[in-house]
Amino acid sequence: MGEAAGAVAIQPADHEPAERRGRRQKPGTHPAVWTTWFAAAALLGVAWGVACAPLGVSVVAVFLFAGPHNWCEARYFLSRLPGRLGPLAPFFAVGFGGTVLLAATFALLPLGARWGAWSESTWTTAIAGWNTALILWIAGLAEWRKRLPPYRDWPWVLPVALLLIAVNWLAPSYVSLALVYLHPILALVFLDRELGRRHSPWRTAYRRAVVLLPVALVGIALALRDAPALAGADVLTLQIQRHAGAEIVPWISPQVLVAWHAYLELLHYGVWVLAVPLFVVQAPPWNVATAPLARRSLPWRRALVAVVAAGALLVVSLWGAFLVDYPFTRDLYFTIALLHVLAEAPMLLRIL
Amino acid sequence: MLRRILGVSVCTLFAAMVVGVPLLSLADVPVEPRGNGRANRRPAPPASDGAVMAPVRVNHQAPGAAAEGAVARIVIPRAYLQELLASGAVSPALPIGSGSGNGSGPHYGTLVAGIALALAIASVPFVLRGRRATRQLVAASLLFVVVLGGWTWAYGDLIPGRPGGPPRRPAPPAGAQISLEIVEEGETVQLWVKPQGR
Repeated sequence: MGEAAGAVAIQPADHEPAERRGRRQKPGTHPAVWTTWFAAAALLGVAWGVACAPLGVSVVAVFLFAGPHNWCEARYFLSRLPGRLGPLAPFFAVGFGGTVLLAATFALLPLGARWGAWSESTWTTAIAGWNTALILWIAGLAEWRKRLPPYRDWPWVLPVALLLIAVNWLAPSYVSLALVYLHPILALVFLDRELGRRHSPWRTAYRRAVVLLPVALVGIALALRDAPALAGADVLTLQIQRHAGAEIVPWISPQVLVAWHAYLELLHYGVWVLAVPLFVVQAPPWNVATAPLARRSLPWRRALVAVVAAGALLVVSLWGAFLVDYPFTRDLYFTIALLHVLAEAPMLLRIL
Repeated sequence: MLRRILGVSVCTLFAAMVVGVPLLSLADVPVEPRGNGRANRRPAPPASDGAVMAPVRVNHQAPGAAAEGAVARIVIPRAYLQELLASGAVSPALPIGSGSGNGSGPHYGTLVAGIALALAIASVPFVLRGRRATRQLVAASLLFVVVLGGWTWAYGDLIPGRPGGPPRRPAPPAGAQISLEIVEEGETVQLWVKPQGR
């Protein structure tokens, strides 16, 4: 009887949201408290490390994590795709179809410019046109998402999209640069939504730590405000500076831009390689048994295993290619990596 | 009822802005320096690749009998011109419009941007329509429009000829000519410009 009473008393607590359970713990022992301190220390510590050697951190971070983070992200997408798409099929078809089309077009732009000997004006027009297509595609998906359950009230989609298109045609290069800096931040939004969906006790700590992000960025800028220009005029240094936007915003020190970009990229890699597998997927990337698509049928499960194995092979190949020719591989990687940048749009809209 | 009236008012106001603002603005109104920080709001067009900066002595006097009928007279010492040609700073035949641009949007980008911006403004009433917080949003929008409109009225170069505003663009003199002279003496380029209003 005593055992039965105990079991009844324990059962509701197990079904309670973890956040509510945590409130009953002794002050100071709630996971949110020490996790906040740990996350804050990690955020500021990484910022300090990046400010000490922005170029080195950028090179090492891309070498180590560029491949694995794509692999983990693909595994996350597999875990979030429903077993049967049903009414979502057209949405994801347009989402992933647009991803491939836009990424392919973007990769072909430099080739077109080279073969067609485009003038600067033609190149700028092409970039503005591509940006416009991207904005319209995302706005179209957002309008579609509004009408899918759970329904969303987003009346601002059209005005904001049109405003962005206006800004884009006035300064296309700034919109392209904004994409470079916004993409790492999207990973933080993914993590926040997923922690919220799971009523995770880590969400409070995570949100408190993310508040420190602007502080860390300002700290990096202050630490490097008087830093001399990046040493060396080699291809890699110029490539990293250009990617960070040194040519587009010449009034900000290239050191600061490279450090900001490296810092945001590191956070982005940290989210996909550490936080998402630990707190969201809760399975190693090679284990696809829990993915809804894998539960559909045996052929689907085998297909998913094949996809994950191919991903692992690509990760190892990318490391090898980086060792052979880092600058060329980095350039090629960031062109192809646009696929995963764009694929985040339909996935994020779906979970919002 | 009140909500509907407010909604219609906002729609009308935005429509008036979309249609009216482009009608009021004149792109070719010359800007006169007025007040602090208002000088040179329209910078000179970008120089072409072959252009060089040369010191010029400006004389605000009539070009003189030697340049009868010309609005300006430029006198270039031959020695100075040969020096420029010899240094390679300028080529004998400067390409026109060969500049590579300043890295901003394409030359018709403002046209596309203007259309997109007008559509964005025109779509705002659809955002406000049917909202619970319509009254607050309408009040905020009206305040925004009034402040922005007032600021534009005060500082914009709209409506030429208004008191304190920019003058109407003077009609260009028929058959305007500039007198270019290569002279043997002298070391500095001289520009003779007929003062306005004389």
